[in-house]
Amino acid sequence: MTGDGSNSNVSAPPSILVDHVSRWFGSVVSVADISFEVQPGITGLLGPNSAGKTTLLRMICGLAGVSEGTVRLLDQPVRNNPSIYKRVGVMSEHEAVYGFMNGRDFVKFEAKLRGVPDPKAATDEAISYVGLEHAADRPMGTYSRGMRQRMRLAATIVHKPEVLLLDEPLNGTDPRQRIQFQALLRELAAEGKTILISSHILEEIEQLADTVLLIVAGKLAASGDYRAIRAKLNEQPYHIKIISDKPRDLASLIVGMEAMDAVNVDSDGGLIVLTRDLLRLQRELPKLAQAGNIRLLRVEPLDDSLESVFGYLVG
Amino acid sequence: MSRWTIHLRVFSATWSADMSLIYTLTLRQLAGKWRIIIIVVLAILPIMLSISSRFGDVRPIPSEIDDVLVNGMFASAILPIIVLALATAALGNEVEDKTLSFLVLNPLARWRIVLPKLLAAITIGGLVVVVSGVVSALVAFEGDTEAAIAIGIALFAGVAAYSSLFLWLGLMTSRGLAIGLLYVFLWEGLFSNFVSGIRMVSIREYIIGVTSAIDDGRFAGPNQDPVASATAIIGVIAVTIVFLLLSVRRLQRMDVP
Repeated sequence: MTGDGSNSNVSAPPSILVDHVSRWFGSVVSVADISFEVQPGITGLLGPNSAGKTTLLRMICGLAGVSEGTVRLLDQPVRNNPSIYKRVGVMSEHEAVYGFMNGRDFVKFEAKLRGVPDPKAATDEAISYVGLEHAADRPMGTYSRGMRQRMRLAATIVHKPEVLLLDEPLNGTDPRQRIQFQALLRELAAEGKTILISSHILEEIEQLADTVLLIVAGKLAASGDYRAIRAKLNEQPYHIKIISDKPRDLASLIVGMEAMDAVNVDSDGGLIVLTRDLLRLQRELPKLAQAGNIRLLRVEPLDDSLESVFGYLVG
Repeated sequence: MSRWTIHLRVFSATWSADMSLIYTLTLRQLAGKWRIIIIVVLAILPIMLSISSRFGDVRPIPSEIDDVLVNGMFASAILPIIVLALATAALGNEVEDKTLSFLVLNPLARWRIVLPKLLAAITIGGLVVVVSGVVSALVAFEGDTEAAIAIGIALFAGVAAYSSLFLWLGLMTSRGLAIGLLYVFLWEGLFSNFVSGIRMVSIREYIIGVTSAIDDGRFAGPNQDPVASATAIIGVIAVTIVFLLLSVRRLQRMDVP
């Protein structure tokens, strides 16, 4: 996967090709001139809410048209090319299901529509893959959010697609389900599938994807190896606000610590600490407070949101 | 090999298992409890009217029955409202519920999704309206089977045309029901009665024309002037096909939620 072509396999066409794609709704630009390629493995599509991830994914899977540019899946056009869906599985962000259908019927329904030769066997296999055999004969309207997501994943993979496009698939799952889900996706990637998964949660993608595409305000802010991007993020100091009963005493103690870039006192008496070594601050701050007999009232990161983290990359 | 055998073979070759799945799914979606209760109640009304007119003190003359039962009740109100409730939901509810992607993200040409949806709406609407129409006609016209058959066929043609129109409307807008009601009462009910040119593009008038074409005793009163048989038959077929094609085109071009 690359945004600039540096990591692409030039001999094989990419599984997903997005070439100068834009999409606007009236005067609002949702996606602006984005280009990248995706190869087999797990690629994370990361960005804050309303960054344009869903619009981009919908254009990639053909649910929405592009205003400008080209999208190709497995070297074929995607829009108005239904035969591509024999090789592609899509899980949209909506959690809607046919509530009156039971899980097994729903997965079998999708298997039959995709022309799977033995829909019953494929259905049983897909349901066992997501570990929902016990609930497969219950109407989907009675499922929890996480169960619906897993059954929708079963329907998405029932025809063993080469490319999987998953829009925020971990929404609504509890931590245990999330771990199961991630393990499933890793297994599929190990089988050589191409998986493009979107999320607005940095940690979610960090645990899954080696390569990421970072979308901010409809533009591709960064792309490539996750660790390289993370390192780039770590070059920026974190902003931490600390409220205490003795801000000036605490400031003098923090200034003496290593790897602190700056300490400022803001207008309401809080300390704004800039540091590249967040762990050290986390470790040392309680000890400093105890030593100085200072009461810590609140410690909060000012730039923990994805928007501000991405701001470093684009700004 | 008879012509019917050839038609049957062409239909079986075109109609595939995936279309049966979508047809069955749509029947199930449309057969919601409240929707069925409402359309059955609507369908019972003309039967009640027929019974009361048949056994009332003053027997209406046939042209009055034509005007009140076939034109006034079925063609102008009951049929379009029943079909509106079914056909706008057939695809419109999939858009509203965001389940349409379960159908379009499959290796199916768009017409293979639209056609079974349309046929499912016609099946339920046709069954309810035709049964209601035939029973009402048999009661009102005192067992006149020719009248009952003519009315049954004409109502079925009307169900097909309206279903195609409202299926498309359900895809075009989330306010399909409201716009459809306005269309039924303003265009079909009001304007087509007063503006003669509109009769040529009115499904209600086509229903009356088809009834009269099959049974020339219907709408033969001095003040009744149905559109020509050919116009009515061509009109029904044209509306059904044109809006079917428009629905397919819409599904190909729209952003699916």
